[in-house]
Amino acid sequence: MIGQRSAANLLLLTAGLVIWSSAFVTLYAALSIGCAFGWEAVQVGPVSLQRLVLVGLWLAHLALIAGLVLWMRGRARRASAGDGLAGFFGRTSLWASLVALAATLVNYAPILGLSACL
Amino acid sequence: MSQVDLPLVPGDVAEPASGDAALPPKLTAAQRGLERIWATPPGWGRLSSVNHTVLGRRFIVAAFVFFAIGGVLAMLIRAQLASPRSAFVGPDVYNQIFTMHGTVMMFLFAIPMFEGLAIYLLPKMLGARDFAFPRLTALGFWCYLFGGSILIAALVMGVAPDSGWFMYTPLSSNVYSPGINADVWLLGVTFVEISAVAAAVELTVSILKFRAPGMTLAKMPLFAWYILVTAGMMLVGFPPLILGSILLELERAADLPFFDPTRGGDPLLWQHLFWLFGHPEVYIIFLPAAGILTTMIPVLARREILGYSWIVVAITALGFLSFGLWVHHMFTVGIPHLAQSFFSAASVLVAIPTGVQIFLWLGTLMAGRPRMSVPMLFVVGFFLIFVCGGLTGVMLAIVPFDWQAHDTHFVVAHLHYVLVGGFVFPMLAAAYYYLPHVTGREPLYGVGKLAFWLIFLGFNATFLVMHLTGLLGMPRRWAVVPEGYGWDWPNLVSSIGGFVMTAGFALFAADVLFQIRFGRRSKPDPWGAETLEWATAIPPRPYAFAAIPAVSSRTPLRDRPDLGAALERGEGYLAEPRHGWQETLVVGIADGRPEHIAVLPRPTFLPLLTALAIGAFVLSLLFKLYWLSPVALLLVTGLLLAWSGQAGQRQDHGPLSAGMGLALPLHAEVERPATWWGMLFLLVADATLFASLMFGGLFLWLVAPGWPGPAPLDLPWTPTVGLLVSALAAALLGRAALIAVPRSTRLAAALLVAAALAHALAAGCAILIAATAVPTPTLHAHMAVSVAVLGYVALHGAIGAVLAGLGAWRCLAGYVSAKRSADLRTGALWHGYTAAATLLALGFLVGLGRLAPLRELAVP
Repeated sequence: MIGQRSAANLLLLTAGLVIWSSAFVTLYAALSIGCAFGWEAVQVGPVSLQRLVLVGLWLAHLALIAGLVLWMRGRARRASAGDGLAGFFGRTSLWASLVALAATLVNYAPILGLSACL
Repeated sequence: MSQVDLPLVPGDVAEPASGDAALPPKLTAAQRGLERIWATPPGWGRLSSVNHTVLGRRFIVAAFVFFAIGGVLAMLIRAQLASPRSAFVGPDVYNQIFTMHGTVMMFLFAIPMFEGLAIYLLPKMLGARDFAFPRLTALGFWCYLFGGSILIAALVMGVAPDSGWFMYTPLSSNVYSPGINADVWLLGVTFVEISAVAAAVELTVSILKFRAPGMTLAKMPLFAWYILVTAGMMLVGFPPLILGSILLELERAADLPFFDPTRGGDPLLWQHLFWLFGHPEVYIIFLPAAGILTTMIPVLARREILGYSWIVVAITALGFLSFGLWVHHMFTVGIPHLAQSFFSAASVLVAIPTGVQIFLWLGTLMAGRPRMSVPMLFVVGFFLIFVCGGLTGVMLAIVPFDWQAHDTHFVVAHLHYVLVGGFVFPMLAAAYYYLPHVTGREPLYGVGKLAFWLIFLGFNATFLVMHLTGLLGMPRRWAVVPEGYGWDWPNLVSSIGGFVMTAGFALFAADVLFQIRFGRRSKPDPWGAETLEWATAIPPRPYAFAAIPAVSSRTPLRDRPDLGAALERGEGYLAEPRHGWQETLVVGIADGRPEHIAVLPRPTFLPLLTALAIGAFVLSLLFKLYWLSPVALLLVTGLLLAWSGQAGQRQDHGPLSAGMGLALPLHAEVERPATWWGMLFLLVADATLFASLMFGGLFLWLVAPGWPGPAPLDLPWTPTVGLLVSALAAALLGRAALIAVPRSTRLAAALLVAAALAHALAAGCAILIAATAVPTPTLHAHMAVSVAVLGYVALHGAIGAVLAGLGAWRCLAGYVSAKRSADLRTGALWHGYTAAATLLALGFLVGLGRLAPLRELAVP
């Protein structure tokens, strides 16, 4: 467990949302590159190359945040004994990572259905 | 207390600032001593102030003056639009008026106003005597004042910016804005941005490190959490705009075609860079206002805030999600459908953490026993107006609706509901709430109520009806209202409402002036608040706390109602003044355990002089006196180096008494003092600027017409290897100097001199590469981006050389020892970052060169 004196508490508070940001940048970049180079027209099985790449990136980020949430849950449980600093950061970091998971799920869900390019 | 005869820091003697006779007799001997040490000198000496209370007040007053100027401009707009085909002003002047109204309100009012409030309040809320970098606060103030003055002077002379507050290219490019109007914006606003980044570094370090012992992050006032998130957003949000302004100014001054689609540039790059800043900016403005609401509402409701932890989570989420919205300003420019959905979804999602806060505030009011007062009136006004603005924001986040309402008066109405509701109303509430603290006097309430109703009714008359004007199709920024579209009467109503609102603001200003002059003396804590800022004297002493308190909960004044009196008696840390030092405590980031004593710099004219030199540099660019620019730059460098002579210690002191049985080292004798953290956060902003530059290059490669460029970029072998090796050598030498310090400071100095030479060599190599590999950077955006990247590397090498040289001097001058090596650690951060950035820059240039031909494969 991260020590109470460490600034890492703040980094863990933001960790899930950093992954959400990474998903945003990666997906927007992959989408723009795919649209520019015609990935939508390349079929890979039942889906286009474009959608395959985007779904892959999305799921990878979701898996990462889900793993983080599980780890945060254990950390929060261990820290829940008191209302002290560890308890505060345990709770807030867990909830912030849950928020990040929900945001990553909802924000990029249009990948499943919408047409990709102009 | 140490009995060692120590040199004063800074300066040689602690002279009384204004003479003992001027000091109130009721002060204790210790307080008199503190007063002498912390006071700002009188007369011209006032210009040397570095005190947070003084500078916070100055920021607030200056911001209010700029607000008044922006308000007059708004009235001119409403006068013009009050009747159809108005001949009040012509389109040329009208363009300047609306551009300056937006620019003044965003850059010269909103940001500096919250900075001023934070600078004034935060140290007191956190139980510190001042911020981490008082001279930086002063520099920020002067840069803001001078940058703002340049813009206002241009307005008076009729050459103000006229391309709209977001300065879209190509309208703001040389072809369509050939005068200096656009340059005034680019240079003036960048000048002000320096102030904002300085403030962001200052706020971040101060909140994390300069708190009362025992104040863990879980016990910190929520206002500080809000400002921490805001400052973090500024560190990442402002650099894209600073970069955009530099690139556009380079295009205008040196014809580098970053935004010129005929030469591989793209106007959309400007929009991306601007809105990467511009949308987070809305939250950068809103969050401090929300922070002050979170401070006031529990006091006015007479119960603790609901959901402290939830608010921390909500604002953390808001800080991130607000960076995923910027393209919702660009829905009509032609963005892939799916990308629009990402930005649309994020724009809707961001309403959720905002809603969480609103419900928690409402819950606190419902669970408490709220008392109606003038601040509460403005809080209620905030709820009504901001919620409406938020809801129209959700409407605009939906792409099909945005396509209909884009660039109409509906958007103008929406943004005013958000910004006036979300910032101005909370600031007015805060003004009435905190004026007793600032002035020591009570407001004249009857006038405040009348001012509220005039502002509230006038605002809604102006902007509620403006939604309709927009839905009826009137585009924003039209200089005349044409007849026959049904736009006449709603514009007339808006104009009448605007003048009613202005009357309200005038009444508010008069009320404040009357309160300062005639208000009754206020009680020490007139609202019954429980946070530390009310434990100071009101108006506060320059040292804020006669002794620094120990904190054990979020409500220290509830725990001990007589805390203020106890601190006045010296019952706390650092109560005894010594050696003319301005001392405050520094604590662990998360746990608030006392770590060391910081000795802060005393009043100095250096920030003012430095800001004047920066101003000279800006004006030399503005008036194209390029011969003067290097001279001004040298002056800036020299003055900044002079700051160093007033900082640090020339001998080891070991642990010193901090009072209450605690002994702590001085800041000079710890591994990571405030300057180390300041450098770290400055580098975060710097890295964001570099990342934005690389994003710009890749964006142009992918999107701009005319790629690949006329010729591939071929990096010359020898200088490229020279650049790489010398940048890495500089970093290693900087690190080696740190290791050498315990053995010999002379050896460390020699290693730093070698590091400085390596940096200089790296800078020279970068310039040589630019000169040989990119002989005509005006030919194509690929060349221009390459020159910009090399320029970034060269600039970092040059600054690295100066910093390494400074480190060597400080080693030889006795500021560095085995215990006092923080100077070198701070420098090593820069050397390491420069090496990493150089490596990345070269990789980027090679990569972009390889990618460029692939554009031919792109689908047309």
